[in-house]
Amino acid sequence: MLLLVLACAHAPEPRHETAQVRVEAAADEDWLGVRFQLAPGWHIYWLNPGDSGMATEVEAASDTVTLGAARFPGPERFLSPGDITSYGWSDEVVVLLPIEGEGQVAVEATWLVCKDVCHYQQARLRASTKPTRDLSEHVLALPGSIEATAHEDGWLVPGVDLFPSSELDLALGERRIDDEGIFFTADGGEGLWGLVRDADGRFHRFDLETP
Amino acid sequence: MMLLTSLALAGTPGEAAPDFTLQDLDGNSVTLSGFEDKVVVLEWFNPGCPFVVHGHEDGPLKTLAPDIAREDLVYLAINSGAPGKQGHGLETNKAAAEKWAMTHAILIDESGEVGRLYEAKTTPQMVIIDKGTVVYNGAIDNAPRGKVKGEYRNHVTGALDEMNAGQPVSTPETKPYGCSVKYDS
Repeated sequence: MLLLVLACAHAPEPRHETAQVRVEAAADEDWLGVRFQLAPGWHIYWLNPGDSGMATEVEAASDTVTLGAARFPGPERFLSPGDITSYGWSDEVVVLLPIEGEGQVAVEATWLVCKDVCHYQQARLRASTKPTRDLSEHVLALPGSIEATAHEDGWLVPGVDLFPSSELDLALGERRIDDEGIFFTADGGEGLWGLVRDADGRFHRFDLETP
Repeated sequence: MMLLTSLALAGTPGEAAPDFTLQDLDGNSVTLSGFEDKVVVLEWFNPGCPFVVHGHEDGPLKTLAPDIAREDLVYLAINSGAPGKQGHGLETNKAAAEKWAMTHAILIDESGEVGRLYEAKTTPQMVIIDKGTVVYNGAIDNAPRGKVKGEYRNHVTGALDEMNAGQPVSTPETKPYGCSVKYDS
């Protein structure tokens, strides 16, 4: 049976998910956005957390992109027993950083997420300002990973575009692109790899390996 | 209303420390007024709070109690969490005391009465009482989870140093940080 291998398990991903929070980073030409989606009942904290809690921090760095200061929307107010007032967001919040230039941005976010209990969490994310067709650059620079579903007769890769390597291209049989992603059949073999581009324009490398 | 006003002032630096009697994890009663000729350091405690965990494992609470120990100083942790809330329960607190080698008493205040008397909002929140008078109420330091902005200052050791030198505490009040104290209502 063929196995899809994560190309680089330690590389920062565009997403980070815990039981309480899902964090995503994405960029367009003018803004880097970091979105926090909270599970029901949970909240994270504003710059001034109030009587308890800890300010959510979003830091970004890039060799090629100039970044402005993070902009946080206004908070909600949370009241806890003991006359404890705090400020933050439930449900969803997007932190925006103005950007100039193109390339990759590394994002580090730390936050305290609380309901009746609190968890301190952090994530290292990455975002790319623009997709480019220069695949060689992205293979080296964006060693991401994807999840694919094995079917009896082939592979389903979530993505909107497929850029197989020449080796994989040779091994590919039927190929079909639909809403779910790219389906292809492959005879397999070791050392085969390809690239998919997701709906956000990011490239992900995948490898096929025979166990 | 008058009661509330007097309570609200009680934990304020410069005011007389409100007396209390609480039980430690072994059921021994501890009364504050029994230490009226001593310096008493109170640490609001919740072994499940990430700030407390960090403080005791990697941060400023790890060796604070032994570091400042001396004959005329009493160090007490107080857990004002209500039953069913995070960090409540004798076994939970005993396990934390053992894990973090806490040799000082952890007092159980599950009604939250003493926590409210001292306006304890967070864990860890620190109070220093000098011979019956509150001289400090606030954060342990200026570095929540080790993240310091500017020069590091441990407010508790800073205040004790000043007291040892016969000076008034220069920063008697700071904004405490951490998890909310898990009061019942």
